[in-house]
Amino acid sequence: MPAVRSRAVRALDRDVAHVDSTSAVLPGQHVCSIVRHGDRLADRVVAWAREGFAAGERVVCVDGERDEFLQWLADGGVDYPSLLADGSLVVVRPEDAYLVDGAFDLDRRIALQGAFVKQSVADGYPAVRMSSRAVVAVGAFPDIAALVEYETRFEALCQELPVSGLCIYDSDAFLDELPQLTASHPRAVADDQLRCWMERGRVRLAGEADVSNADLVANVLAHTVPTDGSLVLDVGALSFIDVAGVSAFVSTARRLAPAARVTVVNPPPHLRTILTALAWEDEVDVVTGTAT
Amino acid sequence: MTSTATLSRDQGPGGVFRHEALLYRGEREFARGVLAFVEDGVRTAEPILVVVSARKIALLREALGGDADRVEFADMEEVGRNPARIIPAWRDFVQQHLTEGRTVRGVGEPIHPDRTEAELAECHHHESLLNLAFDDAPAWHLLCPYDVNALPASVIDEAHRNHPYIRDQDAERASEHYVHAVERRVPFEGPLPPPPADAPGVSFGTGRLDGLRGFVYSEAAAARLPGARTDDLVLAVNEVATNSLRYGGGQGMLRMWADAEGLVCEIRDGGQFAQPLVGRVRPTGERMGGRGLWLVNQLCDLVQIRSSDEGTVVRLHMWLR
Repeated sequence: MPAVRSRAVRALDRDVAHVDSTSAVLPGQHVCSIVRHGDRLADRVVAWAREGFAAGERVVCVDGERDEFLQWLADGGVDYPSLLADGSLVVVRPEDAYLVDGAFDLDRRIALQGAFVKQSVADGYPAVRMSSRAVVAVGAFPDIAALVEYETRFEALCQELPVSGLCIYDSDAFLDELPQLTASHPRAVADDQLRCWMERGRVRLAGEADVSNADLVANVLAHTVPTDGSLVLDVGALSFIDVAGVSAFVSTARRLAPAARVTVVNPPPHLRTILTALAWEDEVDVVTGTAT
Repeated sequence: MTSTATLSRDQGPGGVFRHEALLYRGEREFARGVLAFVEDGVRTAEPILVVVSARKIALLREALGGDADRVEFADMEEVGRNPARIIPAWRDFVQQHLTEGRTVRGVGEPIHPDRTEAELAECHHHESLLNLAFDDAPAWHLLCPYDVNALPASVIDEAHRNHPYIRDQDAERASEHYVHAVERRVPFEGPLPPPPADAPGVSFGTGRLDGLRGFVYSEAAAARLPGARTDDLVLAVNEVATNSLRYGGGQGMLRMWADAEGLVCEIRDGGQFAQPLVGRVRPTGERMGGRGLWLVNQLCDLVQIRSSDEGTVVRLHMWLR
C-alpha cells in the first residue's frame, strides 16, 4: 500500500530529523544542550565530535571522565588514537580548561581560550569546537554564578573567533539555574528532541516541540529581542508541535510590547489547526512559504 | 393549549433552560411534533436552530414552506459526529441570539439507530451534560426527538433519565426518572468493553512523549489510517498523555487496537478529572491550561473519559469508515 509505505518512510525521516536536530552545531554556535533523564548523551556527543572531524575542525573535549568519553568515540566507530596523536582531538580535565594555575581568573582564562583558537587556526584548522559537561565542569568553578559569567564571556568569544561550543547541562542538576544558563547561550539551545537557534535575525526551531521542552522554548524566546518590532520564528524544520509548544509562542507574544508581533513562518500543518481550535489565531501571525 | 401554558410558566423572563425529549413513532410523527414546536417559535419570532440529519432537514424545509427561511438548520452528521462538539454549538447559538426578554429554541437529534454502542453511551452523556451546561443559562428551550419505533427500549429509558421533560403526541410532562448529571457522575462513569487481550501497548513517563508518538505513528500506519487522520490521532494521543504527565501522576499506559469502526487509543493514568464539562467549553484565548481535551474533541470522532479516585481512562476513536 502506498499510504503505508509513505508512513514508514516518514517514520524513518523522523528518526533522521531527530538526530540532526540535536547534534548539528553550526560554526560559531554556542549551544546550551539540555540532557534529561533517559537521554542518550553518548549519541549526542559522538555525533557532535564526528561532525567536527568531518569538517577538519579541532575537537576539544573538556571531560573529567576521559576514559568514558574515549570509549563513546570508539563505540561510535571513531579512530580516536590517531586523532589524539595528530592533535585534532584534545581531551582536557576541567581544572586545566577553566582555571589558570589552579585559580579562577576569568579574564586570563578567556584570553587563553582565544589564543588557543588563534593558534589552532594558524595550525590549519578552520575552526575549534569545544564540548563540556557542566555537571562535571562546575567543580572547577567557585560557584554557579562564575560558571554563568564564564558562559557569557565564551558566547562573546564564539561571536568573535571561529569557535563553537556544546555545553551539556543535566536538567536535574541545574533545574533552578536553567533560565540564566539558557540566557548565557542566547543563540542556540537544544535538547534531545529540539534545537532552537538564531540565524539571520530569526529564531529557527528544528525537531519536536512538546510538553518536555515548551519551557525551554519560552525561555529562549524571552531572551530574544524582537527586531523591527517583530519576533520571527522559522518553524519549517519542526516535525511536530503540540498545544504546549504553541502556547510558548502565544505567551511570548503576550509579553511583547503592544505593537510588536510574533510571526511564525513555514508552519507544520498542525500549527494552524491548534491556533484555530484554541482561539489563538489573533495572537500570532502565521506566514507560509517564505524563503529563509 | 396545555403546552403554551407550561411554556409560559417555565420559560418566561427569569425562567430556566428547558430540556425536553420528544418521543415519536416514525417520520410522520417526527414531522408533526417538530413542526408544532418550530412553528410556535416562528410565531413568536424566536431564533430557531434545528440540528438533525440532512434527510430530516429536507423533510422539515418542505413542510415549513416559506417559514423555512426563518429557521437555521445544521446537519447533525457534521455538528455531532463527535457528540462532545454539540454543547459548544448550542452555546454559540444561544449566546449569539439570546437577548434581554427574548428566548431561543433548538431541536437536536443526536441519537439515531446507526450509532454504535460506544457512540450511544457518549450521546447519552451529552444529553445529560446539557442540563449541567445550561444550568445557569438564560431560559431557552431544546427539544430532542427520539424515534421510539427504531431505537431500543434501553435508549428511551435513558432519554427519560436525561430529560427533565418528556413530550409525545398527546401531552408533555415532567419526567419521573430524570437524574441530574452531577448525581450520575456523567461522563466519568459507565462500562467500557475491555481491550483485546493482544492489543499492543507502551508505557510512558520520564517527561518524554516522543517514543509514544512514534508508537502511534507505526500502529496507525499498520492499520492503514490515512496520513492526515494519523497526524490528528498522534496529536490527540499526545495531548491526553500530556495531561497524564502534568496531572495524572507523571506517567501512563497507552494501548491501541482496531475495532469494527476504526482505531481505538486508550490512555490510562493515575489522575482524576473533576470537571464534567472538560473538553466541551470553547477556549476563550485568555486561560492557558485545560485546552488539550478541547482540541482532542475537535480531532477525534469519539472520546470516552472514565475517571474515579482509582484513576482515569481516556479512549480516543478514529473511524476508518
